[in-house]
Amino acid sequence: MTLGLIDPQLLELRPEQVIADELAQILLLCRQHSIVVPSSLPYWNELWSTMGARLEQTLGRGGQAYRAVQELRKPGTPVTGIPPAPEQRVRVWGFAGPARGALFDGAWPNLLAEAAVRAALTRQRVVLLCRHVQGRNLDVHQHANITLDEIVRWSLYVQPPVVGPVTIDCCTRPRNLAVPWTIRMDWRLPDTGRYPYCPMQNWRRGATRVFKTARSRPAWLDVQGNEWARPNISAGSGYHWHVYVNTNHHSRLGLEQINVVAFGGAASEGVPGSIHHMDPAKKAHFTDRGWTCP
Amino acid sequence: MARAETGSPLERWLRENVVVLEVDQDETGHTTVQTTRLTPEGGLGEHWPTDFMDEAAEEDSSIYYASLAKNAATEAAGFVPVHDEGPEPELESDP
Repeated sequence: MTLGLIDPQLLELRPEQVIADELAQILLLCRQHSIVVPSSLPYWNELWSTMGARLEQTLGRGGQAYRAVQELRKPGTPVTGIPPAPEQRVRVWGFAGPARGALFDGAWPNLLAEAAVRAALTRQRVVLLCRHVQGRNLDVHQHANITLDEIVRWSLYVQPPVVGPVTIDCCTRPRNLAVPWTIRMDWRLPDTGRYPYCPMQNWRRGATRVFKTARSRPAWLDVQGNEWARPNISAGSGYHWHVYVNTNHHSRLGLEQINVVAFGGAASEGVPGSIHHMDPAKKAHFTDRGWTCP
Repeated sequence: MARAETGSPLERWLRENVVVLEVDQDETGHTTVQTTRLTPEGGLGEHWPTDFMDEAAEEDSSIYYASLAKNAATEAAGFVPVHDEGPEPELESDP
């Protein structure tokens, strides 16, 4: 069993379609990964009596967003056996503070930290069901037609007595649990096919550099030194990555840049991690050798 | 539907066999029928019929929020963690 905590930002007022889309992913995540959202933690009442109630009042009755909010409230079944908060002082990371990527403000840091510590004391896996908000846990780097969404807070940590340090991953969609590195890197990077994205070994560590801006172009780095830049999508087409390959792959493949199918596009775009399209003039130089993750 | 396991025969059966029909008549007597199927999350896919189960949903909400207000008074926040702003702790293994 995995225990889920709800990020108050999920109940922030915003356009209904955005709420419906974001919560649909969260509900799917809970369902596919059997996440139980305990309602017996003290933050729950505060969350729903303030933010949940306010949000529900503003939403059109019968709309997708309204249903989704009600559905999110439903998994709140009492989970028995959650220990009380320890009396000792407990160190926590990522909940509050002036540091970049601190997730909560007001009364929330302590309420969520308590919920996280108590959930961690059950020794079940704990995740935060969250939302990316620019300026909070998301920085957007943009140049010409390339955009890179840098997630600046992908895990929280708590260190309850006896149990020791526990990681709480911040999840927005089912793929975050199926492919863990997508909590930090772009979820549309492919992990399959002949040209998969292979994450850095220590990608969880904040000190590990996972993207760079070269020639003003922001791109994700993989463990092999290839650079993955995502062109902006127009009119729903072009679900692919521009991959600038390392010197070794350049000589193996014959090209310094290939276009690789992204994860999450329509089936007609091709298998994620395969070649999406190629300039006819470059085709003669290309050898389809692929690569595998170390 | 929401309680059926992902990809289970029950989920498949419900998705394939249950259709909600909304029949609506305008002032001129013209009748339209709209169909919608269930989603894997237990909602309705293409269209939510006007007023469909609205009363029950609203009643459910009012009861729920009333019960929260009742419980809120009994809770006290006493837990004060130490917010560490340094690098993340060393972990033995990934989750």
